[in-house]
Amino acid sequence: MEYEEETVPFYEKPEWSDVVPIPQDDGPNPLVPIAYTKEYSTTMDYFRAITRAQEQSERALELTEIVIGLSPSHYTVWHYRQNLLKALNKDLNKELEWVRNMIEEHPKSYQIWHHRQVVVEHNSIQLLPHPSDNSASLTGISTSDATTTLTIPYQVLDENQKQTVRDTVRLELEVIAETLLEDSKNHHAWSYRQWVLSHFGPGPWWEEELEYIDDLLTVDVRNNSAWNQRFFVISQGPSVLSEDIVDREVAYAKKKIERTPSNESPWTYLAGVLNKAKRPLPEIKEFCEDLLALPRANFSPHLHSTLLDIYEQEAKEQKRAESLERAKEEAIMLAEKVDTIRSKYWNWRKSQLKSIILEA
Amino acid sequence: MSVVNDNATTAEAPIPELLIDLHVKYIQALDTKKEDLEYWLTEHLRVNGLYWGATALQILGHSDALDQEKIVEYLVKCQHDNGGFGGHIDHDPHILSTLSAVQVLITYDRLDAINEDKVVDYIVSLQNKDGSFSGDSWGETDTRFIFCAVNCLSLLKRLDDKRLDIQKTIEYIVRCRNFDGGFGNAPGGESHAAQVYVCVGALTILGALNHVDVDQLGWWLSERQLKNGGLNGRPEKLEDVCYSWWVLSSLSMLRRPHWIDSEKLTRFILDSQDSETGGIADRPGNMPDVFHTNFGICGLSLLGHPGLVAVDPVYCMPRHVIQRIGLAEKH
Repeated sequence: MEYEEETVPFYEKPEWSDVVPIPQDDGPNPLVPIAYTKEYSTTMDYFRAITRAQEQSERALELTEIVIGLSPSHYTVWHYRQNLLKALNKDLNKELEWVRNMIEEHPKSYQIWHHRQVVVEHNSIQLLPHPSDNSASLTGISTSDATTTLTIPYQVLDENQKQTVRDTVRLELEVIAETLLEDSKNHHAWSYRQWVLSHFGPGPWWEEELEYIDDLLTVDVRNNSAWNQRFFVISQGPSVLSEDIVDREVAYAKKKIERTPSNESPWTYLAGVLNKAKRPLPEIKEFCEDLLALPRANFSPHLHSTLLDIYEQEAKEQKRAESLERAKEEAIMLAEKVDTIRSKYWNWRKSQLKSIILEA
Repeated sequence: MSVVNDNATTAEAPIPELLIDLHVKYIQALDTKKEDLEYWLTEHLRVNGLYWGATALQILGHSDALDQEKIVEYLVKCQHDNGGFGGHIDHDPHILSTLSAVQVLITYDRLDAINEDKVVDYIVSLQNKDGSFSGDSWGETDTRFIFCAVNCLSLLKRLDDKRLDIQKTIEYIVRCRNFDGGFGNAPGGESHAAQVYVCVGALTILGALNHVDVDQLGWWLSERQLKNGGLNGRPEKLEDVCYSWWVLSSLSMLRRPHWIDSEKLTRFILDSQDSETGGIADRPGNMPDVFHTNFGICGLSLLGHPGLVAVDPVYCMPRHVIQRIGLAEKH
């Protein structure tokens, strides 16, 4: 950071000599009296002076950078910075470069990611066919309807515009991927990623996203965030959830389960896809029963709980005594052997089976 | 450091003692650690910190351990003209600090110290067309902010404000429900135990729990318990004391708290105590902080640990306070 590299603190430079710093007012007998470290307290005294005067200047913008460097979650300073960017008509692409570096240093700051979103949304207005649409502005006020803002109508754009959109999306996904490379479950990064995909509407990035997710799951098949993203793409992306896609996804999840049967995520995904497509869970009965033969799968609570669900459903729908018996065996297996920590839950499931009435 | 022993989770080992007096001292001392830069870097969370500290002390049965009059005086200074509270003096208003301020003032029965109508105006102004709420006038949206809004308006008995569209809010929360039964920060966002708490909490307050598949979500929540007794927030993540609250309170609202192993969880929280300084850490052996101290103690209270004041699973405030203001019968 600039602040760390400089030997002379900003407040000892001549361009700041006219500013009278305002110390923190904690009132008499303060609950939280002042004992900041000098560097931090002096910086904040100047920041207070600048914001009280609502100064709009280059040096104020530099000061926000220093304050953010010291305390990136200080949300008030981000607000002030957004006002300054607008008032000083700054180059927002440069701002995005700076934010990229900030994300690298503070990947878990809500404020940094939100700031990036506000800037990107503002930048993307020029890509809309009607320049009068002001779905986003740096005053932030209208960005509040994050889920109702206009998406970019990629298909109706000319080739040059399409290229611009593709470059914009690619850059954002690249910045996010950098963060996910360090922490593949970073909540902020994933949340922003979904916003980018949705905001720019239907486009080639949705298909590419599936490839990206596949790469992540190849590295770490237990990455639940990636599984969630997969569900997001197939359920909220532009493609209709056709039978072919469901078949493909079912096969995909099965393959991952075969490799690590104790992994919760693909099991949940598999059941979720079938449910979304309104296909019956017993469709995977044979697959599950075959898995029982694998020594590494036999102690998977997820395998047994899925079998319990399947047998319970069969017992209810087909009134089969054999299914009911098997369901009971699975509940007992889970309660007493493979998932004892949740024995109360499994015993409850077992007791629920009693309400199933079989016909002669 | 902590009394931790990784193998202490066998049934034979005695359950560690809850160090009530040490925790009280730890919270009282938070305000005197000003030489610590970290203390100042969290100043935007000061009002939240007060709520965590004050609530923990209430549940520990030591409500007088902080000077309530000074706290009220300080909170009054954090309210802005638009009605919202900042995270500290000179910080912009935000819904997170606004809820914390209101919670502390109600706990102390001192709502008279502030302008309530303005708080309502502020929160109403943050509702978006799609029913969600922003955290402040700068627009970040998250299901956390919906809970803050609904919770705060409920505490102030102003959910019937004509300017609100509550139906839209319920619909928005339902859109955040995932294929695994959990809830995320936005539609499509990965299920996360803390986001589940805020969504289930908001739906409980709004009398709309019928939108939840109770058995599926209850199951997902109980899956959060790991072999060492601790709870995680998402599959394949580490256990953390704060999830004792997010998961257990959600299970309580769904009336299924018994689906997890309460003895193992109790042990995990108590193992995360710092037996030298007081306070509770995110997990055994780590540094304590006021956030984990509060949610650890509130978790123990929900587990019925002896010697603690009962906590309300929806509002995360003493149950007797929620009873006093007449909201206890609603859930």
